[in-house]
Amino acid sequence: MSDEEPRSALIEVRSATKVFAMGEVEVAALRGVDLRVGDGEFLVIVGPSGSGKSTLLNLLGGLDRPTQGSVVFQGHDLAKASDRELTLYRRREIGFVFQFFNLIPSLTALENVQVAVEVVADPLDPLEALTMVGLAERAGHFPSQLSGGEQQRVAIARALASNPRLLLCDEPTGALDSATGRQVLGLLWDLHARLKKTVVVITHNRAIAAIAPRVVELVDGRVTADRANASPAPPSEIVY
Amino acid sequence: MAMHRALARKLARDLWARKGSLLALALIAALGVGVFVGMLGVNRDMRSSRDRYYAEYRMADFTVDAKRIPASAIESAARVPNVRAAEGRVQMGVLIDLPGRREPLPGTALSQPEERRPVLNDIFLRSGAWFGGRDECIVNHAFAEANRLKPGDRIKVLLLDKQHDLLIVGTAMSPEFVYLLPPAGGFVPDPQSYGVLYLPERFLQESADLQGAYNQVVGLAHDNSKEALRAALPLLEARLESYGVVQSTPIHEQPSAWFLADELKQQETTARILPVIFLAVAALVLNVVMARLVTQQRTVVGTLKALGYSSAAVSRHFLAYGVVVGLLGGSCGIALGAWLEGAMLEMYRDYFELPGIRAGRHLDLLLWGLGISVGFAVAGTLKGVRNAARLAPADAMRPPPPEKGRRVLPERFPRLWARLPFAWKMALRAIFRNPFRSSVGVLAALISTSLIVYVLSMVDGMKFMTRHEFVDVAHQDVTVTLRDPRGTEALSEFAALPGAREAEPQLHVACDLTYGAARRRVGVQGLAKGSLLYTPLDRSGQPVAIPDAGLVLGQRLAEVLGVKAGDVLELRPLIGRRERVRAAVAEIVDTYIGLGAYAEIGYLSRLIGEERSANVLVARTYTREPSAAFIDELRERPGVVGVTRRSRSLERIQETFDQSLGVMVGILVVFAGSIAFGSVLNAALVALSERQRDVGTLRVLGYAPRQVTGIFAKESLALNALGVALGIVAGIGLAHVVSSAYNTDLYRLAVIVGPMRLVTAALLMAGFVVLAQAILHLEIRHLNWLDVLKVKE
Ligand SMILES: Nc1ncnc2c1ncn2[C@@H]1O[C@H](COP(=O)(O)OP(=O)(O)O)[C@@H](O)[C@H]1O
Ligand SMILES: [Mg+2]
Repeated sequence: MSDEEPRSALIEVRSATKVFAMGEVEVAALRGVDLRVGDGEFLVIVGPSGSGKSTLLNLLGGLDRPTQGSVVFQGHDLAKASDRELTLYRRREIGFVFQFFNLIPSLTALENVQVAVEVVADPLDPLEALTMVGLAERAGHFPSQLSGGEQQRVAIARALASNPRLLLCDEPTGALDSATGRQVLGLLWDLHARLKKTVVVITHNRAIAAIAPRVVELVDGRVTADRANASPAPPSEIVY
Repeated sequence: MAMHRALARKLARDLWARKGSLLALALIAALGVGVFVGMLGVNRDMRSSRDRYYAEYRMADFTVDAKRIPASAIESAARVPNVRAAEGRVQMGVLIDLPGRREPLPGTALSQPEERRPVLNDIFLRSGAWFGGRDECIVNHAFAEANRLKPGDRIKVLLLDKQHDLLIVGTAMSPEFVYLLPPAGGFVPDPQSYGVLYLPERFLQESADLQGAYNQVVGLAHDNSKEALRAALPLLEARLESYGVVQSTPIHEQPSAWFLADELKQQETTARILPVIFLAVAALVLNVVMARLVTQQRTVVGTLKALGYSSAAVSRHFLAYGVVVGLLGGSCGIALGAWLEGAMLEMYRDYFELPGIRAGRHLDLLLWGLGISVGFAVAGTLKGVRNAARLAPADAMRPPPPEKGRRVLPERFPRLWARLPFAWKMALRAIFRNPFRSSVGVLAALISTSLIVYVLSMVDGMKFMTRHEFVDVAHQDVTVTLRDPRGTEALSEFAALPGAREAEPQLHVACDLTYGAARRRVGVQGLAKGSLLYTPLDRSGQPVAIPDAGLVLGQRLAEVLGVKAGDVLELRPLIGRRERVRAAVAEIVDTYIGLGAYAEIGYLSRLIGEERSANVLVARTYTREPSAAFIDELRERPGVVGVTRRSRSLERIQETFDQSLGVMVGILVVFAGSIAFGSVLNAALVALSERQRDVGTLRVLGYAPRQVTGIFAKESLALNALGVALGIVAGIGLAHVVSSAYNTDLYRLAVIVGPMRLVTAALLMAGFVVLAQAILHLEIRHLNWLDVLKVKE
């Protein structure tokens, strides 16, 4: 893989700002961010807590709109999209993985995956998705019967099952011990490598950035660095 | 209730945050309190105005009808034990001729003293003045109003076949006729077509051929209880025997008093049952809401306890929610009750001629209303309070255990289960894992549905009864009532009237039937064999065959008397020869008539000591509506005391249905629906508060708000579908129970539950559920789901 080879952009953030009005005070979470995510890329965004990572990820995922600027996905500006269009965008193009898994507690692992599958046109088979994350034999378990790592893998299977182009992971290891966290990162890397999914992982943990070919640093709502990592470490070798 | 200021502030915020849910509960409680306060208020208003009216105008405790009682005999009647006072008067059926009315109207003439003095069954002069001369009359107020008659007008009145031109000098109301039913049947007053005239005593005595005598004794009793009157009246009858006693009637059987008492009793029953239902549902739903609130606030409860608040203080805090809901529901209920009281009194004023009915002040009722509302609402917090009190601080500070992954009942059928969409799996698991909450949901739907089904079936029952009586059984266009039975030659006379197509004779005889110790006064209807104009039907719609000899009894009458087919009764007719005779029970039929009986007309004639005779003629005319010539001819016939067009009776009942039934049904349906609405809304809000995170997850996954609502609504859909199905069965059952409870001597209400009505009930319920879900949808749309996902559970 060579860095010079220009990838076509899958999604591009242009001079995006985001200001939250909290009663009297306004909080600027993003202060003019430009970011291009190429198709098939594996990108890690690092930054201290409160630097605006989640806010940026939410813009990429169509969960929110920028206050100013644009978020262009395949020629469509998400900043101008209606609620309905954003819903469809999330449904078809995005797979989310959260720090706290966000599984539906009253559904089994398999059923949680089915939730994502039911509203899209060309999904994966839910059981197949579970197999990919190595949890086929746990299909009938409820979230409360699974460990944190297993729950996160179910969440990844769910994100995969709708067959999205873009996988967005918000602190996916944040609630896990480091061994389990490494497994989860390894899984994400695998999926990127095997299925050519575009993956964006955000984390406050610099050690994790070592696995990514490209690392973007965010501080105080601004991109302070965007560098290529010529020799990303295999996830199983990082220490954090 | 002592409460810490900080807790009071928390209470206020918590209440405000749940205002929608609590308002919906307060609404249900308010309806209950409203019915309680309003209907019991109406009950008291009417009871007290009735009692005042009866006392002030000396409503008689009994009436004895006889042929001719000389004035001198009245004194001796007053000396019968338990009789406090007795007076004689003249009563006579008349025909009233009003300009602009095609047929002469039936009326009742009653004597009043020439010079005004207090008498029994006195009248309350609403307008005009007392008699000044002979040919004058005072008419009952409702009749005057309905026909736009006023003092100074003249009316033509037929008294014993002699036409009189009477000057109306006044209009009046009487305690005797608070609810004045027309003689032609039906169960609603028809002031336009039936009037009561008060005439100077001597004038009426002369016109009735009763110079110096009376044909009725009215009296007061020292003890007017049912038992005392029942004991005294036979003695009185015996004392007057030689004057041709026809019948005696205690006040409990006097039609107007009877009907009024019955209405008051029904009001009271309704006012006690409905509120309990409403408040109980409110309490159950509140239990669900409070249990959730305490779960949601476990850490708060733990912190409070850790800070040194006692369990009692925490309990009081959660009890206060109930107190607030109860007070809110109670005070809205009191306002609603005041409105209801006014509206119901307004309606009653149209049907009951009761002066001075107005809404009174019933402070004790208001306090009771408030009290029961608070009581039920506090009971509604007990589940939550208990949970809060039991929570140990250390446990409470820890997050709640995650939802257990227990399998639920339907998962035992894996093949079916596997096919279910996940939304149904979520719904079914939620239902089975929260049995209390689910049961409350089903129960609320069941209650609303059964109330709606019951109300609709009642309307259909009344419509059916009307149809049955005036269409399926009776086919005549005109009914002519004669003063006395006449030989059947009268029939050919009427059949020859212009426009008459066919006529049939009937003989209506009031009789006392005795069997062993059982005794009942009933109307026996003598019918010609093969009658086409009047064809009694049993409850299955089969024609009732009239035997050559013997009586056909309705089932209810047979039960009351304890007879079966083949038994021989003792029968004493109240007209004709009036001698005790024996009559066999030929058949017992299951009909809607209350205490009715049929017999062949010739057979019945012989029982009253006559040749084949008739006192009612039913006729069909070529024009369906009898022509003016036909009516005019009738007017001239002697002995005619009533002419009734069937279409008129039918119209009047129709009118009543249109006026008041629709409003009543509407109110009851809205009341019933509020239960469903409040329960569904609260269940949905509780479920939403538990599953906010799931909403967020689904939204992230690309579910539109409408789809999320759809997923959440399934739980409610399933519970309500079950509730509605059970409610339909319960409603039909309720209709049957009420019908047999009201299987009175007057009639038996048919239970008609047409499939369309069930569909209507189900659709109405669907409407209330959808309304509640619409609110849920707004909540889901406005839920800040992104923030929900940010926090750890
Ligand atoms: N919905 C919101 N309302 C108000 N402020 C918010 C909201 N979301 C994020 N913020 C603020 O924006 C800043 C960036 O937040 P976030 O993107 O969550 O940071 P990170 O994910 O890097 O920790 C923080 O100061 C945070 O408090
Ligand atoms: Mg974050």
